[in-house]
Amino acid sequence: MSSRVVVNTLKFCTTSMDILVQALNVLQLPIIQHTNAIIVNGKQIEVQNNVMFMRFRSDDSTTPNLFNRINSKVAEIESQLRAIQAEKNAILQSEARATEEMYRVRQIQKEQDRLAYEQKQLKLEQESFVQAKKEAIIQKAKAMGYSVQERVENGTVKLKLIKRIY
Amino acid sequence: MKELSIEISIDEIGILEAETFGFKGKVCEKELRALLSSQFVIEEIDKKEDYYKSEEETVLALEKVRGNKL
Repeated sequence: MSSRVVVNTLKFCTTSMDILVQALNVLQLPIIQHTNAIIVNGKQIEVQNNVMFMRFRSDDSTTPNLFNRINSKVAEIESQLRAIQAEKNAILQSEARATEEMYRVRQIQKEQDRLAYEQKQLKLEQESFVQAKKEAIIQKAKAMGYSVQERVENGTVKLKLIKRIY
Repeated sequence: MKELSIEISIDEIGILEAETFGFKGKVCEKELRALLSSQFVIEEIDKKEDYYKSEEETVLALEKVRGNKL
């Protein structure tokens, strides 16, 4: 007479021992934790290279039920953690966008200030240039015997040089 | 008595326009160049009708004025 035993393996959907333990705590299952295994209700969850699984014989129906309860809770916790992380990421992204926008506004303001300063400098230089040219013309005109009348219209300097000859 | 005049405008960016009145012949151009060429680059001169009239009278008159001043 011979017997045949099939041993099945069910793998948990997480590689995090913390999440698995958290799921067991939420389910209020008594556990005994070892280095490479957790005993739950007398059933063993094995841990090898961050992979957690349960072995059971084909004639054992309680282990798959227990596994499904635990694995469902693990999936639920992982889903919640992903949602929390997504929310945190969204907040961080929003903060980064706000920071970037503030930086951009500061840069624009800085550029506007620089342009305003340059325009002011340019205007001063132009006024100085016009003034210098005007003085030079007046001086030359007087040397050439002209009398000079001066006025300003809409920012334009108008000179009238007059010479009377007899 | 004859009155010679030059009207000059210098805009905000330093561009100058000058127009002569009472001059005849090329003397107006000479007068403008004498007045402006040390300070400005003359790019364009639009000649008026008087430019093509005799300048003899005006030149003599100008010389007389300058002579009087000396």
